[in-house]
Amino acid sequence: MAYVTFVLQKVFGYSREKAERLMLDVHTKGRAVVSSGPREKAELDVFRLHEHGLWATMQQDK
Amino acid sequence: MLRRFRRGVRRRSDGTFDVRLDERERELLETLSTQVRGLIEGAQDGEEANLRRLFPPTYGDDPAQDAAYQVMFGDELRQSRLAAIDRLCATARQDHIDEEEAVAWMQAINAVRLVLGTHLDIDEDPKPVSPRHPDAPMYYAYEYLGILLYDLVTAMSQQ
Repeated sequence: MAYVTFVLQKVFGYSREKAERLMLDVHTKGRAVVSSGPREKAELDVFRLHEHGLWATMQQDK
Repeated sequence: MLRRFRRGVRRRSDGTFDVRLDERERELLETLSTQVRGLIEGAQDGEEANLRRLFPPTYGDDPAQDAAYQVMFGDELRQSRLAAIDRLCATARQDHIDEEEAVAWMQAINAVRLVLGTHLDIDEDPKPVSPRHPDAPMYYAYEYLGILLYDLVTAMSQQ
């Protein structure tokens, strides 16, 4: 848990509170939207999360 | 024996880190990292399954898009993982590491832990196992790496 919070802060520059909220969403709901934007940016974000061993996927807004 | 109440990594006032691990702990880090390196480099014969958490699909519901993503990022991710493991192995005997080395430790230790967890089919917190369980050493290694990872994250979170 602490690891996920730390990585979200490090990769996205989120506050500890926001990172903890997202971590708890992942823990309780199984998923959270941690980043959004153009495809190229989102793919890079996914790569950076994968580098840290977090299971991130891409999903297009409907 | 796990030492739950000892901090293996501490942040210094200059932003670098003291590492207090004994010989067996350092040897374990080197051994497991080297084994995972070998798996990443030559994953064949059905061993790819243990690496699936290291290289997860990005477009889970679209194999064509996922294949395109893997062409673009797959090798870079593989090289990044190997670089973190190499850095951990190169510095595993040091009593003092800098911030970049600490990040590499974090990434590599987590990668090893993911491979162990996949092999042991651990989804959440592992259940206690008997010392006589055939996979007991792997369970203990998984738990130990979790403690060390927590130490690292705690030290790196301190300002």
